[in-house]
Order: sequence, then C-alpha cells, then structure tokens
Amino acid sequence: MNPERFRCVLISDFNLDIFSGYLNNNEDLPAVHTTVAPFGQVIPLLMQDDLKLWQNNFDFTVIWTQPEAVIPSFKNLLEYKRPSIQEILGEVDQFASLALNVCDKVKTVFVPTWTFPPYMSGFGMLDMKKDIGIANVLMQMNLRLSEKIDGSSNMHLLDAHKWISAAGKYAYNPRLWYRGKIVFGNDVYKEAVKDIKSALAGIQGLSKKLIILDLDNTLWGGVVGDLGWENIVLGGHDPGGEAYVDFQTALKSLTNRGVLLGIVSKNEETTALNAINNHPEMVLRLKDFAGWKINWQDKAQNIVDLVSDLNLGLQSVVFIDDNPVERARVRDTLTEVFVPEWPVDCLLYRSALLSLRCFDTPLISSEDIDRARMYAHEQQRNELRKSLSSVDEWLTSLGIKILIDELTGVNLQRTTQLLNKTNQMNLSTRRMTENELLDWVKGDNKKLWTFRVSDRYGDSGLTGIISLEMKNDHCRIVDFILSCRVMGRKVEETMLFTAIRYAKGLGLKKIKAEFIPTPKNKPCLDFWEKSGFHISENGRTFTWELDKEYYLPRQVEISHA
Amino acid sequence: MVSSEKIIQVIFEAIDELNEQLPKEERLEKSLNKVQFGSGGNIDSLRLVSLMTTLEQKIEEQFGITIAIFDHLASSENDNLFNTVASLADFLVSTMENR
Repeated sequence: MNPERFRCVLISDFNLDIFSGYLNNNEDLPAVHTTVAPFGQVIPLLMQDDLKLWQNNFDFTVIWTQPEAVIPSFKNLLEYKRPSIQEILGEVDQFASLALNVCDKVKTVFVPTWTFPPYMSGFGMLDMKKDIGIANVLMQMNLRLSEKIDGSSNMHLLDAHKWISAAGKYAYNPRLWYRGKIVFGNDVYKEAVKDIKSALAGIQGLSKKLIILDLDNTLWGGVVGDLGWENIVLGGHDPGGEAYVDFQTALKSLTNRGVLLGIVSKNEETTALNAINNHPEMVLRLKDFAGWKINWQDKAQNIVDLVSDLNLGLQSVVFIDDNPVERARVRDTLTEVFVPEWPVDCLLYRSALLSLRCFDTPLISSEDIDRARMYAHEQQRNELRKSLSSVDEWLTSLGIKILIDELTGVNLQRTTQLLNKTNQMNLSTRRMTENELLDWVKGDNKKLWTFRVSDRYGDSGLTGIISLEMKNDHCRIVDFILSCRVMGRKVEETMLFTAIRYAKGLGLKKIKAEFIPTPKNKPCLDFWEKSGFHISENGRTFTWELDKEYYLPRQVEISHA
Repeated sequence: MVSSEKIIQVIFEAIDELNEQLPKEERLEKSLNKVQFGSGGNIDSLRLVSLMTTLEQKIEEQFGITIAIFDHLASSENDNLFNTVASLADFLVSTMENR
C-alpha cells in the first residue's frame, strides 16, 4: 500500500462532501482521492459484496455513522424508551460483522467511534447509569465495536470524541444538518483528516522514529554554558522547572512507543554532558539518547551526520528547537525533516509534544518497544568496533546468532510491519497488508523466511525478510529486506545463503534479483553491487548460477525455528 | 457600530476556511467586487451552505449576533442581494445596525 495518491471511498448515513473536500485538498502527505458513496445507504453498501463500487480496489474506506442511524435500539434509547443492553449490543455485533466484511474488499478500513451531540442532556444525572444512561450505553457500544474488530489487522477504530472536543461549541451544528444533511462542523472534519492522514503515513511506514532535540531552553531553561549545570531551570518549585521535567518525562515515555531520542546542540560537549549526567532533576540521562552531536557546527549538518550514524533516513526525523532561526534553517535545508512550530512558553512544551501525530503506527511491536534499548546496545557495539583492529575481528567478537523461520501466525504482524516500513535495505519496496502477505505466501511456488538477529549485546528482533518465487528452472528474489539496525553484520549474506541453499535443493539453475529503485533504497543497491552476483548491463538485475557455492558467513551461527 | 472593514475581514476568514475544502483552481478569491455567490457565482449549493454557515458562526463568535445569512440568500427575491463580498458586507452591516 504505497500509492502516489490513496484512493478512498467514504461511506456514511450523512453527507460527507465537506469532509471529502478537506481530505482531498489537505496538502499534507500522503495525498488522497475520495469517492463519496451515496449517503444513507450504509447497510446495503456493507451487505452487498457484488456492488460495482467494491471492484475499484480502494486503498481505504471510512465508515462514519451516527449511532442512531445504524443501531435502531439506540435510536429507541434516545427517545427515552427502554431497549435492553443485550438488544443494543446485539445490533452492534451485527454492524461490526458487516463492517468486517469490508476488510476483504479494501486494504484499510477506518471507523470513527460513535458520538452524540454535547448539547443533548440525555438522562442528566442518570446518563452514566449502567445499561440505562445514553452516555453509558454509547461507551459500551464503542467498546463492543472495538472488541469485535480486535482480530482484524486492517480495520482501525478512530476516536471521534477527540475531534468533537477539539472542535468545541460548533462540533455539531444543527443548521448544517437541516441545510445539507451535514452532521459535523468543519473543525471536526479537519481533526479527522489529521488523524486519517497520520494513520495512512504510519501504514506507509512514514511515521517518525527519531526526535532530535536542542538542549538550552528546550530540554532545560537557560544557557548551560553561561549558568553552569547547577543553575539551569529544571525541576524544583518553579512552574518553568516543573514544565521542563514534564517535557522530559513525556519524551522518555515516547521511547516506550519505539521513538528514539537524539541531541543536536550548539554547546561545549563536556559542559552539556555534565548537565545531563549530574543534574539531579534530569529525567533523560545519556543512556536515553541514541546519539548526539554537541558542538558549534551547523545544526543541519549535525542532523545529517547523526541520522547517518544511526542508519536512519532524514524522513524519520522530528527536530525540536526553541530557536525559530534554527528551526527555519533546518526546515529550509532538510525538507524531509519534520520541524514543528514550537511554543515560546515552556509551559506549553509538553502539550505541544503530545499533540504531534507523526509517531502513529498501525501497531506497536515488541521490537518498537525495545528500540531505544537496542540503540543503546548499538553504541556498545560501536565502542567495541573502535577497540578492535578489523571489521572481521569485530563481527567475530559479536557472536552473531540468526534464527530463521517461515511466515507464521506468530510473526505475521512483525513481518508485515517490517515489510511496510523498511526503506533503505529493500529490494522491491512492496507494501502489503497482513492478509495480502499471507495470501501471497500461500500461493504456488512462493517461499518466505524471516530472520531474527541477536548477539552478545542483545536481541535485535525480527529484522530480515527474504522471499522467493520459483518459475521453471530458476527463482526470483521478490523481497530482500533488512532493518537498518543490523545492516553490515553479515545478515544480508545469511539471507542469500538461505535462499540459495533452498533453490539448490529444488534443483533450480539460477536465482535472480531485480532491484527496483526508490528515492531511499540506494544502500540496497550498494549491497547487491558487492554481493558477488552477476550484474546485468542495466545494473538492476543480479544473477547467481546455482552450480556455484555460496558460503554461510563464518561469523554467523544459524538455527531454524 | 460595526465597521465594514471588520466584517470584510470576517468574510475573508470564512472564505479561507472554504478554500481548504476546494482544489486550487476552484478556490474563491478574496476580492471585494467579484461576483462569487448567488446565481452568478460558481460555487455549488453545498459549498454555499458551508461558507454561509461558517460566516454565521464567526459573526456569532465575534459580535454575539445571530444572523441566518443562508436563509436570506436562499430566498429567491434576494438571489442577487449579496453576490459579492462587498454587497454581503453591506447587508451584514445594515442588518447588524438594525438590531
């Protein structure tokens, strides 16, 4: 799922033309082109598999309904009748099953949660009474819907309550309903567009992975070089000091979602590191940062260098700096880096950080959660590398172990995530949903292996994929994917060894790989050009005659699941 | 007394908001005298609903006055009563002064 413009169908019981306008014309990437299904036809549209509409192979759909329009018992409740909770939840189950039916027809399904207008007083003090109050029942309905779709990897429930809160007084405007059968005010649609765009970016593997931070007046108040680390504004009984601590705590929390932290600061390195190591109220310590560039050089260049050290792309980066001149410099020079406008008031730093949507991903794997720890291990590896005389000696000393497995129910989620988010070491940059990948692997003459890499410093997790398609006397490498975290550690060669050994076992004559260039996968081409495979004249096709031996790198120990 | 300039500013804000929903080539101009609403305009009825409802909200928020602008516009005898920003602003100023 990586089109230039995502094609979407909007399904609703009310008029979504205004929402469609916002979705189509919002300039943030990825771009979207919508088709609006006739409103008020939700159930028939969801029920009929053979509709022409479903032949359009849409990238995603938004099914946005008012609860009273699709759950008749809830409408009764709004009229102060007394439907049973079982009846209401039974209807929610039916709706969920119809919505799940759409998962086979489009790649991704978004369902905004059900809401009702804040101006409805409902049962007043009884509104949260279990099984009776409108607010209570609506919460149960949304929870039930969430439970029912939990097993689906391509259906996502979006929290529309946040949009309603953000829009405030005009979230619901009855005038719009009577004039155009439009339920929500513009601000609700704008918030929904932000969430959907960020979800699409996450699904495309474009979510941000690294926050690069300035130090003075960003992580703490004041200039450490002038004040000394003992006198910076951080913690204590002071609104600003508390706000900086809270901002650091929020940053640290993001590392639990797999977001890395880095520092680019104009400072004396020793002075800045002293503050980080010694100030008693620092929440973030040196071990929390994947890397840093603290010097008096240009920040844009330092960002490029840091990102390169971490084997990431600039498109993965968010840069946070209190100084508007530095922000403008980075924004102008490094257009791929996301540089959010930043509040002048440090009391607003935490809320500014928490409002960023750029870290959204369709799932959070154990590899994501451990990413910060893995980068800390990477720093230890690099230290070891510096102390040894050759790369070969370094690789041997790492004690690399690789566990090879086929695609299973257990690793499907992580494999799909890796397939969809890896840009640099990626031969063909295919993007697929879990179901699409499963279907592909089940097809005739297909094979896929996953590679889990560990060494003496820790487990890097499932970080490699190779897949093959066999035809006549040869086979083609379809996917060749490796996380940047383990590039250059002989995992690439181990993946090729696995594929070649299998192809030989089938009695095939040759194995080929066709490199499909993207703006980001040059590192993959660099590997293939040095792989020992025969290179075609156009430099894009790589061939290995299977009567030749391909050896497992001696630094690697492999095992099979 | 409400100034015409302030009302024009509010109308332009509403146009900005509408333009976020439109492709570049269909966006309304922030021009005083170009015919853009009513029968001579080129926005469809749904966009007109959106524009006028947004304008009503902004007037409510900024001046505390409720005016059902869209209902005036929808009435056939008023079809060309305010088809430009300038004529719309005149209508709003006079309506607000009469309150």
